[in-house]
Amino acid sequence: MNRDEINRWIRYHSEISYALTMERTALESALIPVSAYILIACVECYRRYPEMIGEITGAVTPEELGRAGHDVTTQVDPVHVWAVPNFVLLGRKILMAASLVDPDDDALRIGTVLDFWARTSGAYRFDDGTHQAADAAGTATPYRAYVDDVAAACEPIAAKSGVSRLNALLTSYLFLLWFDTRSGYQDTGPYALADGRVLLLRRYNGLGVSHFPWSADVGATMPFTEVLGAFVLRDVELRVTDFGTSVTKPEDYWAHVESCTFFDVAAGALTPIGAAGRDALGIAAKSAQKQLYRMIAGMERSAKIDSGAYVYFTFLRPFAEIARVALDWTVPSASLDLYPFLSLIDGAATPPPDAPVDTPETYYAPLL
Amino acid sequence: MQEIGSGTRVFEAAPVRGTWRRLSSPDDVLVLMDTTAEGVVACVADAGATFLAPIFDELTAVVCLSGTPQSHIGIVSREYQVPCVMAAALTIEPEDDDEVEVDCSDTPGIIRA
Repeated sequence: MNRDEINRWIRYHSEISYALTMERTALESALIPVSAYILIACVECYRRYPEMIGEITGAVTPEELGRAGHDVTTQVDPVHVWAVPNFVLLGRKILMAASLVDPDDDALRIGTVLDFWARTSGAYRFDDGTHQAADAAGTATPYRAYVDDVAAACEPIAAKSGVSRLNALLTSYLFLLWFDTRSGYQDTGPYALADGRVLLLRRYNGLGVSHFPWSADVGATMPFTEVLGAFVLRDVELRVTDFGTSVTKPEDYWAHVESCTFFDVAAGALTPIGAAGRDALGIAAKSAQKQLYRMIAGMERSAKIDSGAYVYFTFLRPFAEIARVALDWTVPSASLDLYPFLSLIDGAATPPPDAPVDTPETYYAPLL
Repeated sequence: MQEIGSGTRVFEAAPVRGTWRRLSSPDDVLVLMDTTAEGVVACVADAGATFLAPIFDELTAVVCLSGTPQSHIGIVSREYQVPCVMAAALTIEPEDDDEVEVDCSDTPGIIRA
């Protein structure tokens, strides 16, 4: 990827991620020091992802990885595809502010990551010329091959409140399990159905025991570990963001859910979860959430930062797993020189008053 | 009741009434988790989703002093269908256990006490 191409993609991500950030604004939590761990993780991403991507693409092409995201069992999904270049660019932004970016090395690092992302995202989006939902009026439909089967399995559910409660419990539990990131639950759509209805598909990822050390106890009793929720909406405008979040008009879409279902997708097939299974899943999620909250609340701040940084840094892991490449996911590792400063950040990382104000054009700086 | 603040509502919802509780630390949440958060209108500073996680389903409403409906706490409130006002600006802050009303029936969302 030449210098002009790199700068063109940097500008592309700058504009989209600026807009996403403005739409979301605040991300701090009184439970988890989110800003501090993001800074640590993104510095690690800038300094380590290019080499790790080289190992992954030595085994599997980016195009194959993108197409792997059409399978509901993988975590090649909107936020993971978005995150790989953006975490690196955020790390670069932090390091640039400290004059710690080497101009001679920067183009190669960024070029490697952007080439990986452009090829992966293009294939993920069926080579239709778009790379993100932001290019396509808020659409991301990787699971289109499943739509007929999923829609046929959706059924009106008398006790809608029970279904909405299960969805909420899973969503909330996954935010906690994934340290206040959206990577645990991912929305895709809208998938057009007959009569103007649309299908929203929601993946609830990694509900059980995973590579997260804190999942070992709390996830052990989850009756289902990989779940797909399907919601047929009528009279709702639906778009999804590159964070994998749905935005609807009206804002509360639940009154417009005509039918729905939940599938266990851990084994690679769509296996409907019946009422008893849904009840058990909801009870387990509620209990696991309480147990996990107490565990996180009892952690030292440094342990919370390390754990959150691990969640962020492993956004590349789904690609490595598909490629069957074993990589070192230890964090902190390449941020130790900055760790004492970055980990001190308390609350949102407020820039000094004289710092340049971000704009869509300057959110990420071009190559030096 | 008089209006004491307003902000961006996450979704349209009828007015609800509950008791005001400013929650600042995980210990505050654990107390409610071990008793009950039924009837509580939680006021929080930050917009992360995790802080209120184990009690969210019991809350009557949430007043967040920062963020937008697309912030994590806004997303979770939508899924739980717990009325929520984001980036709320308060002219006065109620005392804990004061009765308050959160009105998301129109824009902006209104807090009354």
